[in-house]
Amino acid sequence: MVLRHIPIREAILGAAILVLLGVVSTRYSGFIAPANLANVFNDTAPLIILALGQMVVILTRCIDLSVAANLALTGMVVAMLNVAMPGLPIPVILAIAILLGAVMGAINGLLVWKLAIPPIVVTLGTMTIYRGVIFLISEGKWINAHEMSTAFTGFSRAAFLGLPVLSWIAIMTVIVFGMMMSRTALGRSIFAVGGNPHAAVYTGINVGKTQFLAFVLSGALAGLTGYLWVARYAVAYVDIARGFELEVVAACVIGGISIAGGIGSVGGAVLGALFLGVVKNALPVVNISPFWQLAISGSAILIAVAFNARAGRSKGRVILKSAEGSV
Amino acid sequence: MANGIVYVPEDRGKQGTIIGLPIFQNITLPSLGRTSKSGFLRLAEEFKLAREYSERLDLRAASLDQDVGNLSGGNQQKVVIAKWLATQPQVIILDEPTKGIDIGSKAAVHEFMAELAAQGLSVIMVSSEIPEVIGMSDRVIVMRDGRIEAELEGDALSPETLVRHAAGISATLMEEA
Repeated sequence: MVLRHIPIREAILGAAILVLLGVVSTRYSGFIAPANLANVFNDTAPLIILALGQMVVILTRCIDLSVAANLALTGMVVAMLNVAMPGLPIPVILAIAILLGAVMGAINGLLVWKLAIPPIVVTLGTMTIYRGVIFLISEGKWINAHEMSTAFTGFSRAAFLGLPVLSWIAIMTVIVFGMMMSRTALGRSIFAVGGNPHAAVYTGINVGKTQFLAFVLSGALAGLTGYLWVARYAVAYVDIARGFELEVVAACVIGGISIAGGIGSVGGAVLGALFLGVVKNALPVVNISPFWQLAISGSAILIAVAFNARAGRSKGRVILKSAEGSV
Repeated sequence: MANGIVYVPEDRGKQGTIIGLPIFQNITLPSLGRTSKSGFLRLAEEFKLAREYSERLDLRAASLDQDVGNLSGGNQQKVVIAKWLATQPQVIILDEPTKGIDIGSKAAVHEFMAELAAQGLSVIMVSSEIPEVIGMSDRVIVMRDGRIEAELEGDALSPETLVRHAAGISATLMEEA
C-alpha cells in the first residue's frame, strides 16, 4: 500500500471518474470547466472528510454509523453557541466542534473497547441517541441563516487562492491522514489490527485502544464537518445529513476499503468520495433523474465489492501454487 | 516484551504474520520505536532493519515490500522469527517452530537456533517431536497436564525416558514389563 506507485484499484477508480467526466462533458461541455470542477470538489468536501474518518474505523474492523448524527448534533450545538454568543471567534468554534465530535466518538470507542459490544450495534445506538439529543436541545426548532453571525457562515466560503476554505480543509485533512497512515506507528497499528488482530496482540499492540482511537478520530472529523455543514448551508435542524452515514460508508467501499478490515488507502477513500460527488453533481446537468443517482451509486458499491473480492481470492490460490517452488 | 522475552507463536498464520502487510512491515512492527524519529517512521531505517534480519535468516523473497501472504510457510516462519530477533531480545521462546515445514527449512531453523544459542541468547523451544527435542536441547523440561514432570539433561535424555515422563508411567512398571 505504501510503496506501490498508484495501485491498480485506485487507478481503475480514477479512470472511471475520468470516463464519467468525459461522458458528461459530451452532453454539457461546461461541466469540466475548472470553475465547475472546483465547485464539485467543494460540494464533495464534507464527504471526503468523513470518508477519511470512516476509513480509519473500517480499517480496524469496526464501523461508525453515528457520523451523520454526530455531525448534526455538533452542528446544532455550535449554531446555538453562535446565536447565544455571536462574538465567539471562529477558531474557538472550530475547537469546540472538533472536541465535541471527538467526545462523541470516544463514547463509541469506549463501548467497543471496554464492553466489547459490536461496533455496528454501538453506533446504531449512538446514532439514534445523538439525533434525539438534537431534538432535546433545540426543542425541534430550526436555526436559520439570519440568526447566525456573518463570520460564522462566511468562514467556510471565504475564498483563498481560488478555492473556498471548505475545500482547503478537505485538502489538509487528506494530507494529514495520508501522512498519519503511512508515516506513524499509529497508522501502522491500524493496518495491523485490521489485518490480523491476533498477531497484532502478540506484537504488543493494544487492539481495543487502537479501535478506540479510530473512533475518536472519526468523531472529531464528524464534529469538524458538523460546523462546516451548518455554516455552509446556513441552517441547523434535527434532520440535517440524515442518511449521510450510508453515503460515507459507500464512499469507502467504492474506494476499495475492505469491510473485513486491514485493506484500504487514503487515496481510495478520496476517490470513492469523488466518484459519488461527480455522480451526484453530473446527473442533474444531463437531465437524469436523481433516482437514477441512487441506482448508480448502489451499482457502484456492488461492482467495487465484487471487484475487490475477486482480487483478494486469487491471491489465496497463488500461495498454494508457489509454496512448492519458492522455499 | 519489555523485559527482553519474546514469543514466536505456534500458529504462524493466525498469530504470527499479518497477511496484507508487506514483509518489511511485518518484520519491523514491534521495533517501530527504534526506526522512528520524533513520531514519524523512517522507511529507509525500516528497510535496513528488515534487510539485515531477512538476510541473517536467509529469507527467500523477491522483494521485501511484497505481501507476506505470498510467501511459503517456511519463509513466513522466518519472517516471524526475524520480527522478534529484530527487537534484540534476551530470551526467545519458540513454540513448535518447525511444525508443518519441509525438511530443508527444518534443518535451517535448527541450525539457526543453535547459532542463536551460541551467541548468548537463551532459547526456549516448545516441541512435541522427540528427535527434535533430543537433538537440539541442552536441557529438557517435560510437562504433563500443565505441570513440570521432570527435568533431564545429558545422558538421561533418551526417547524412552522422555515419553515415559510425558505419559506419567513410572520406571518400575516399565522394568516389570
